[in-house]
Amino acid sequence: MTGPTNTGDDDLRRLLDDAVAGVQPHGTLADIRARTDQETPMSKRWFFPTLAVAAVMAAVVGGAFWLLDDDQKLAPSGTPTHTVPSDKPSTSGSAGPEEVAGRAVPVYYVGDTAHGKKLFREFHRISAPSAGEIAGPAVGQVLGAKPADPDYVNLWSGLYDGTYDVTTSQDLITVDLRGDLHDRPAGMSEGDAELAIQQLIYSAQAGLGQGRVPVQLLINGKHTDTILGVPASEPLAAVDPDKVQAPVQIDSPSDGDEVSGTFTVTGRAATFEANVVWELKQGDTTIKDGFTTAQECCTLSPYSFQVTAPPGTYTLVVHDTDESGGGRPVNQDTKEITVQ
Amino acid sequence: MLATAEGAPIPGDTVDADAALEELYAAHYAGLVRMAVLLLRDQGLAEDVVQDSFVAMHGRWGRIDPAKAPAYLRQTVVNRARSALRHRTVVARHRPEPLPDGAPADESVLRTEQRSTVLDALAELPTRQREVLVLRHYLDLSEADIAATLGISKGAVKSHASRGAAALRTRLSMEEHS
Repeated sequence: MTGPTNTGDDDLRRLLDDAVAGVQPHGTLADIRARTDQETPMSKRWFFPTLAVAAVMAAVVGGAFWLLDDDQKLAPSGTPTHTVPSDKPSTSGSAGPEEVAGRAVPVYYVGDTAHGKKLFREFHRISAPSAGEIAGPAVGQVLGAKPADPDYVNLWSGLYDGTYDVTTSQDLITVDLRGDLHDRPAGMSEGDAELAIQQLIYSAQAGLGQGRVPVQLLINGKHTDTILGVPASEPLAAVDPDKVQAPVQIDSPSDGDEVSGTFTVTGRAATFEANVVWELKQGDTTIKDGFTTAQECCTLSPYSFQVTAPPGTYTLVVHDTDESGGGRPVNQDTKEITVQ
Repeated sequence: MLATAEGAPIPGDTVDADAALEELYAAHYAGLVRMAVLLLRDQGLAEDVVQDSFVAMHGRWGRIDPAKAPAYLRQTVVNRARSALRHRTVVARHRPEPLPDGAPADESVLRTEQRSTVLDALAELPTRQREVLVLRHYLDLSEADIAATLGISKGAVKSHASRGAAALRTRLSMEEHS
């Protein structure tokens, strides 16, 4: 036991946690299984009794969910045409980088905050090329996948059901959509239409991993003056993250994850004095709580902390602080998790 | 909503080993990779070492006490990480960023640099000190558990821990001032 006299070591704990908090491990159970199968050829098909939910959506990063992809395909080469990943991964294409089943793909959805609707990021584990940029798969998740967190919505849900092309270069991402997307659909607010476009921009940029590269949107291969009624003739930039992204976000664990008794929570927050407060709740009862600080104050920056809890089902709540003491709205993100 | 593993008992050793592997993978894979990154400063190598350890555990499943499987796995990863370091012929001191992120576009450069600084500083410590620091402060293991994992005495754990902590702090503060 380290004992209560070792509080001076908390800085080390935080440094080490921090140093690897952003590591998103690659390699899947399928990789390991491929090798254990060689040792034990009689090994049966795998079942995922505790993971039935994962089958209906892209598996989510966080350690507990993954997708075992039966029919891994080779990734398309050149400028691929993708289909919206409603159930199967893209089947087009010939030779190219091999796809892996468990690549972590960043994708942005929309949720409510004290300041209105904002973007939240999730990581989905899906089939994707084993190396290189993944702007295409990220866009595919926006157009056709559901958020893992039921608190989020996908503004593209029901809007899109077709193929799309994503091509990338150092200084431009081109996303070519198909269909009748010129005007804002009835029932969609202007703000929502703009957020939907930002979902695409942020996800594509995060997938490319080259910073804030402008995004040119096309419809049916052609330039268009608007998409969903939002001006789109020129390449579009991401709106300032502190304006468009939720100020408190949990990256991991994901909603529905099963975690071990001691687990690490990572995310990003833009809060007063970088303060980040967390609670582990069962119903209205707080079982554990604590606080940490994000890397930087007042702008979206990473935080991480460790939680130890007995087995059970919990709601993990991470929120900012009401520094004025005067009823300032509190922003939060929540995840339903199971501690094993 | 979710079926439990107990709800679907399938007899046979292989299936037991497979089921155990599945559970252990879900619970420990990501954490062990992160731990191995702290030990190795190289995510690709860390993933290899952890996957090898899972395969090794699966192969020996009949001879492992299931309750002790997580500890066994942890020990295997630490041991294999140590030999991986020993066998790596060239250790480039400032290798390129070893931490490909899910969304590198989203993380600040500052953040990446700070991580690298900590990993660099850890990599410069003697192996035992690094192992003890990681097991103690990252995994929160007790001195007794660390001693058992590394096969050394509790007294040795104590001295490696205090020397390692001091050395790490010194290196990090030197970095800050240089």
